[in-house]
Amino acid sequence: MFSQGVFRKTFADTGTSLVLSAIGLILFVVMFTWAMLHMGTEVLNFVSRVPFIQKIFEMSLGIKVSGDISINVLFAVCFTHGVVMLLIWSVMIATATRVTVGEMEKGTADMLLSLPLNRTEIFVSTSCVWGFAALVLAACPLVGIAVGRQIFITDEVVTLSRFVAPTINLGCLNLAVGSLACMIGTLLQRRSMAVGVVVGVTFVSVVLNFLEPFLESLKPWRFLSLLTYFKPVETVRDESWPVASMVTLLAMAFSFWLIGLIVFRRKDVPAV
Amino acid sequence: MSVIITANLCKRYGRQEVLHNLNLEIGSGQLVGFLGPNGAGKTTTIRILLGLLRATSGDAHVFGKSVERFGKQIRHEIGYLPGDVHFYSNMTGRATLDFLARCRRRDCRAEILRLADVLDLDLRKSVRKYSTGMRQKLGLIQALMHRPQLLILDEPTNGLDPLVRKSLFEELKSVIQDGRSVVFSSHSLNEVEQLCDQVIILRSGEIVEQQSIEVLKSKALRRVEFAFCEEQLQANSLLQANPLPSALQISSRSPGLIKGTWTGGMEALLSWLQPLQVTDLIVERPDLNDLFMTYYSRQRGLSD
Repeated sequence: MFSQGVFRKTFADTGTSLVLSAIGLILFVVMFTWAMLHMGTEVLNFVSRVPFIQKIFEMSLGIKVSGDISINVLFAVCFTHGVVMLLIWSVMIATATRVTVGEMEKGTADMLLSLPLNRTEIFVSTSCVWGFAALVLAACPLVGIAVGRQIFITDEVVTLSRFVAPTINLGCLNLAVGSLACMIGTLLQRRSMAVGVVVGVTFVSVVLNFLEPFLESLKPWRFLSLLTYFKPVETVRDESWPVASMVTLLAMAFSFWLIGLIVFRRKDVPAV
Repeated sequence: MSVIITANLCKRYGRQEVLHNLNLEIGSGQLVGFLGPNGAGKTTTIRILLGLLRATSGDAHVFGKSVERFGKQIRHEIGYLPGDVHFYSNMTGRATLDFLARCRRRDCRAEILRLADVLDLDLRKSVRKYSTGMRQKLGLIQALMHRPQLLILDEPTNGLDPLVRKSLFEELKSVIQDGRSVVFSSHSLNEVEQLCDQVIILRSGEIVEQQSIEVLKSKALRRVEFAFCEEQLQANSLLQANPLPSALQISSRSPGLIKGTWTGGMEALLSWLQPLQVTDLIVERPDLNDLFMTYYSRQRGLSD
C-alpha cells in the first residue's frame, strides 16, 4: 500500500518549496503579530468608526468588529489573512497535482507506472507527502504567533492554547483543499487545467463566504464553501472546538481522496 | 512457452477503434519486431501490456498472468523503454537509476555500471544536461538494469550513434541467448531485419502478419526485370497471347524490356514466362522495406 521510493522522491521534489513556504509563512505571521501588538487596537477603533469598512471587516472575519476585541482574537485574524491563505493553498495545489496529472503531462508517468508498483501504492505514497505538507503549513501560523510572542514581549496576554483548535481546523481545511486538487488532477489530462479548476473552486468558495452575509439568496449555498467550515476568529473568541466543521472537512477530504484514488486506478495513461 | 498472449484485444476511444480483435502470441527467447505505420496500434498494444491503458474488451496475458489482475507482478519482470522517454530533469542519471532500482527493490548497481560502460554514458551529469541520445541511453539502462525476462523497447535506437547502436544490438542478442524475450518496435526496417527472428505487422489495429522474416520474404513483393528476344518481341502481341498475371505490376516497359514487381511465389512467375523467349531474367530478393511496403500499399489501395 506504500512505496518508500516514491514517497522519498516526491518528498525530495517538494521539500524545498515546502520549507521555504513554511519559513515565509512563519515570518509573515511574526510580522503580523508585531503589527497587531502595536497597531491592532488603533486599527480596530478606526474601523469601528467607519461603518463601510467595519462591514467589510465583519464579512472577512465573521464577527462584529469593535474596539474591545481581545489581543487573542486579533491574532486569530492571521489564520484567515489573504497572504496566509494564498500561500498555503498555492503550495497545497502545486503539491497535490504534482504526481498524478503533473507526471502525465511531463511524460514521466510512463516511467513511474511501468514500475512494479500498483497505482494505489503510488497514490497513497504521494498523498502522504501532500498530507504532511498540509499539516506542516497548518502549524505555521501557530509557530509564527509563538515566535512573535517570544520576540515582542508586551503586557498583553497571548494564550497559545487558544490557537490549537484553529490550527487543527486549518489542517482539516488544507487536507480538503489538497484532496480536492488531487481528485481534479486525476480527472484531467493537463496540470494547468487542473490547477485552474481548483483555483476556480477555491475562489468561488472565498467569494461565496464573503458575500453570503449580505445576499440572502446565497445562504442556502453556503454549505458549498470550504471556508464555511473554517472560522478561526469565532473559534478563538468563543474558545470553542468546531468539531462539526472539522469532521465535515475531513469527510470532504476523504471523499475527494477516495474518488481520486478510484479514478487514478482506472485511468488510461496515453502516450504524451 | 508464450510470454505474451492477447485474445480479441480491443481498444476504443469513443467511437474510434484503435485495436480490433488483436490476437497475438510471442514465445519466450524470441526477438520480435513490431512494425506498422503510425496509428497502427503498436504503442497502444504495448501500453495495454504494461497496464498503462485498459483494454475495452479482450484479454492480455504476460507470463501466463492477466495484465489487469497481476500488473504489479508482471512489471517486476518487464523492462520498458517508451518511444518518447522522459526523466526527472532535477536528478542526475545515477540518482534516476537509483530511484528506479529502489522502487523495483532490486540491487542493480553492478549492472548499471556495466551498462553505462557499454553504452558510454556519464551518470554523474544532471538529466537536464543530457542530449536526446544520452536520455535514450539512460532509458535503455533503466530498461535493462534489472535483467528482466521481457524487454519492451519502443524505438530503442532513436538518437543513438552507429557505434552505440551496435553495442545495443549485441546486448539484445545476449539477452536472447539468456532465454529472455525482446519486443522491439522500430521504424528502421533494416534494424528489425538485422535483429529479429519474427515480425508482427500491424495495420489499423489488426495484425496483418506474424511470421518469421524468412517466411515473410518468400511471400513478399520482388523487383523483377525480363528481357526478351528482339525479333520475338512484338510486345503487344506477345503480351496479348500471354495475358499479364495479376501478381505482376509493370513499372516500365521499353522494347525488349519489362520492369516491375511480382508478389507471391516464384512458380507462377516461371510458368507464365515459360512460353515467352526470355533472354534475361532478374529477380531481386526483397528486403523488409519491400515487405512492409507490400502490406502498407495494400492498405492504401483498400482505402483508395
